[in-house]
Amino acid sequence: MKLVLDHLTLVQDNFSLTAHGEFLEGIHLVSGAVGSGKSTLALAIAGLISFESGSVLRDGIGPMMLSFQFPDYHITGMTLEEECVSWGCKPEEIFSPSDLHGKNHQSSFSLSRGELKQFHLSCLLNKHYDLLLLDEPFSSLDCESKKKLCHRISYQTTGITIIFTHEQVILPRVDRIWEIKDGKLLDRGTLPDAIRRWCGASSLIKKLIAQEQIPHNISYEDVLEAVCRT
Amino acid sequence: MQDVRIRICASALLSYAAFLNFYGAAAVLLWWLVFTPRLRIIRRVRPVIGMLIIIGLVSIILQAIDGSGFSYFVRMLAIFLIGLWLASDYQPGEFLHVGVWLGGNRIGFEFGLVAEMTMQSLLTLLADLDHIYMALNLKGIPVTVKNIVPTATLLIHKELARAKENAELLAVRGYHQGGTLKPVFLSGKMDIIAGLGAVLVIVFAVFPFVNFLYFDIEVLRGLL
Amino acid sequence: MIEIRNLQYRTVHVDHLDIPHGITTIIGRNGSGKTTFLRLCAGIVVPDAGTILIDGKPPRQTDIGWVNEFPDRNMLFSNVRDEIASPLRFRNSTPGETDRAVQRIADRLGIQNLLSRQVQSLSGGEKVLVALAAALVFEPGIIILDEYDSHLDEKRYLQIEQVLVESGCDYILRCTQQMETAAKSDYLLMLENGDFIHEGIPPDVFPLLITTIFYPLSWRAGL
Repeated sequence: MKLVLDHLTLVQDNFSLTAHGEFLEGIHLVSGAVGSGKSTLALAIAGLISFESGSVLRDGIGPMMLSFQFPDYHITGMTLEEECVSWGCKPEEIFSPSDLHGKNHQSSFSLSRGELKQFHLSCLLNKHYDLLLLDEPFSSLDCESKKKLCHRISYQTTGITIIFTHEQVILPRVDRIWEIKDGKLLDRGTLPDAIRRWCGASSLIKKLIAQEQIPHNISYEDVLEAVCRT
Repeated sequence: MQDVRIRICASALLSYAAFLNFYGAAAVLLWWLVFTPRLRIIRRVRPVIGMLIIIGLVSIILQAIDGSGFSYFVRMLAIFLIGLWLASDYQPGEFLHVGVWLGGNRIGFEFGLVAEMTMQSLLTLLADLDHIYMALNLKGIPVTVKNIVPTATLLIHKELARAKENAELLAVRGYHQGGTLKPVFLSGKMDIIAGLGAVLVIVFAVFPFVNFLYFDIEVLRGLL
Repeated sequence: MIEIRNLQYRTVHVDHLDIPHGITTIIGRNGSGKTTFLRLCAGIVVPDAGTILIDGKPPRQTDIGWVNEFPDRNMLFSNVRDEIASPLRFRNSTPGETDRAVQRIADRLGIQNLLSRQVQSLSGGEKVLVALAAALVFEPGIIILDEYDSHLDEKRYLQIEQVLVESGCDYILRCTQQMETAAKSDYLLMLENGDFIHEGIPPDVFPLLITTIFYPLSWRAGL
């Protein structure tokens, strides 16, 4: 199974983006500045917007899902239980183990933004998708929730998972890093070599590289391990 | 048309002319063909085809009932196209300037502010609708008549939540009553010519010689 | 000083809290009450009991700049110039003063090129800059920012951090999920279930959190 972007060109009011490459099975990070086109690329891959030229080929890919940056864009049910069911999830699987226990009949709009994001991601990650696109999954989450999310993402052992984010500190282990820079999607390669080529790495990772203490991967634990080596 | 004052007055005159009678509506359509960027308007505003179908269907029904379908179609089409033109030529911020120009910095500013925030709400409502359709699409839920009520409920809920946020933002920005603004308008030669054209249209629709037109047609029919 | 006494509103409960001049950051888990507390300080909501006084005056009698987390929810108008000018227009400043102040703040934030743009066409980071401009244009004594950095990349975040430091505001009150941001504060508060469980300068507070993920990674690296 693979996702192929063949000279894809996206043009919007204030930017243009070209993307060419193959996403194989595994976890991919697409990083880039705010406004660089990450969300637009995600929408194009999901087939939700048209593009100027090129093509998107989902070879051998069955079920697909895109998680929007703002979870309230996904709401189609008035109560949390209706929302849960709209995702094809069983309420007892989502509500029982979580902090939302007993809140089935609460309005979908009653949660704080972080709680809504956590709820939405719980429903999403409860199902398997061959292609899972996560647009800024860490925004609105607190540090502990980000870490839990990274842990859950690491269970995505099959299928293609693409994380579009500008988060730099709490990240999951990934198989490949991509970067949007100057209107182009650039393939930085596999880990750990990709870290050296990654322009959007955090200042801490750049300092570790300068000290020749390259983390094995970009997760919080890997960076912490590299810090402890210094 | 750059000058929003002339645009609003022209729209009011032309809409009334189209409403009055068939000849007024025909004159409005001619004005629309001459003075507006026709294709750009139709491409920019989305629900055109749907509205035209609805107008067409009602016209067919009226024609079958009492023969007034054709007149209804022409008049509704004229009013619809003028409304389309008014909406597509809207430039963000101009209602605030018109409000203050008409009503001053207190009441005029308030009306202008309400109009601007209404336009902003309409734009975000369309964006919210897009997001809801995308969400339904992603979840594999078909968009059917059955979904209209829950979708509308969601939209209303979002709009109410946004209205509350806007009220809070207004308060925290120091809004109490009115505000100060120096209205600025852009005017071109074509704006004035088009405005005069709209005046001619309403005169044509209202002035009694239109009745002579009817009279002439009846006389011709009698002679034939 | 911002003095808070016997405050109660929903889950937020504060017996006695004094917030000094400077940059104060509030951290805590989702749902701990950070946004609610900031909304109380901004006067957007009124407490059920207790008082908040900013240099002796309640929030609703104080000029406060406010920036929401979601860039789109900070916008009242469709174009950037109207958005930034709005607080001054609402305060009945003369058109000349308003235009000069808008130009000044746009120059300070480096967003002169955005003044003629539509808000819908801006990126998330640009919208935060515009919201910040609207919050600072009337030179308030206090600015309150609710997780403004969650939609910013590092470059924009550093730019805004500089603007905040140079803003001239007596109080900058913010909440964040980025511990590196929290580490750069003058004063740090941690909320849990509506109560402040830790308060003090970062070197006093963060050691209490060393076993948690709320300890800044750069501090672990000794940076």
